[in-house]
Amino acid sequence: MSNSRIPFVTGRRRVLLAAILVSLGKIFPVRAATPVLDDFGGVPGLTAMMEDFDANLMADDRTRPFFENVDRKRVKAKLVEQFCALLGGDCVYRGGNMKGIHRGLGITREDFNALIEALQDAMDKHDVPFRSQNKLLALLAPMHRDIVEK
Amino acid sequence: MCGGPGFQRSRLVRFFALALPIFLSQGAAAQLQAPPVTTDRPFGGKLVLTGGVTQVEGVAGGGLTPWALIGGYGTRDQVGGNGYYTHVRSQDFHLQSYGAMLGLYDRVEISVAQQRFDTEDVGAALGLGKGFTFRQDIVGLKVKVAGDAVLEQDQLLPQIAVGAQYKRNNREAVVKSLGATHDDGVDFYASATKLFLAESVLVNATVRLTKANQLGILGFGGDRSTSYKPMLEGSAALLLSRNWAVGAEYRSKPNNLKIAREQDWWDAFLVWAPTKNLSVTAAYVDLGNIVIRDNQRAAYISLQFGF
Repeated sequence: MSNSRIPFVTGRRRVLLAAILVSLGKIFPVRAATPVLDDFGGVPGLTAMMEDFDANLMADDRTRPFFENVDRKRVKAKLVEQFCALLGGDCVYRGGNMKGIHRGLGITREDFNALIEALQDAMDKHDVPFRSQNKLLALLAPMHRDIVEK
Repeated sequence: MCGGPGFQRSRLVRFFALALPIFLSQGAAAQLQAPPVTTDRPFGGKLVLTGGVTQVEGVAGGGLTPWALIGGYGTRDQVGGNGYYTHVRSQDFHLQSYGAMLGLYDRVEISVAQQRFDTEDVGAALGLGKGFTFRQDIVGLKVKVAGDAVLEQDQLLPQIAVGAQYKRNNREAVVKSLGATHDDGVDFYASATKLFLAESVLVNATVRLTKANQLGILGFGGDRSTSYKPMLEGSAALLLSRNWAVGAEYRSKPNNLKIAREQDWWDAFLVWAPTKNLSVTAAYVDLGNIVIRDNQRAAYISLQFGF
């Protein structure tokens, strides 16, 4: 005997159950699982890490020329959005597309790798576990096709 | 004078002098800038450990097995190179291997190596004399034909390379008396290497066509078989950090000589690359039977210096 309705859950009982479920949802919010983003300390962690990433990019003469004359505050903000979105966080990347942003810059494989190293150093400094670092890098690495021109 | 046209013009000039850079920087906000001077370097642009280490025949790979990676740290715009020294010591023998390689534009790898296999007391038992040593010279060429093991993380296609190793043994009379048909030979191989970065795992598979007996140290071909055989070699490594990796390898080998029972090899290794200029590899290697001694188990240490 199959019955699509749950026994005893009718009328006022159903309203009560719904109310309980709604309040449980408020107490224990069900969110998309973001364990990797958590390893970065969430958006605040990414924001803090970006300061060191920026400093590392400025300290390396392979990457500094590409960033020293741009609005780095904006770049950092866009990178936080992008990384957060890539890591499954509740963010939307609203920056330019990778190919358009990097067009005509003559970025080489070495320049691209130098940026990865600068990011690795920043992630190390912020104690992001190595395996979580690699999960982010695995999502960024294919972007070489839009970024590297030489 | 204060309201004169000269003052108006100079205010206009000052306005543009101030406003123009602000306007330009606003434009630049959305766009990174092409640097006025290029800072491209000729060496060292790959990420650490992505050139592999040097395997026992002088080729970029693991310890036993060539990988599809091109040795050294040169990107496709650069060159790289390495020198290495490897010492393998089992209960009854030791092997030294050393050489140098050049990686050209992340496309071609040229290598030279020499192996010295010291028979220690077994040499005396065989009537060759204690410490009788086989020497083998190896010249290697490898060409990357497809893929990129490191950056193409959204594709399954591995990096694929094909290569050849010309080997020449200096003990022609001895290896022929052991049953080998030649003192020199060429190995041909194809390697596929893939870094699964999200899993921090690197996997390699190599197929080698060879007639070599114990790498060629006991000559090529033999009284059991003289033909090329396809041999399978595999490696798997787990990246522990940017500078450390652990892994294991397997290398199947032919069995061409009647006097010995050549067996497959395997190893477990630990690599430390503190910089792009230095790596240290330590391994435990199971070599099986070597000449007349069974169950040879070896300690393997390899140093690589390069750029």
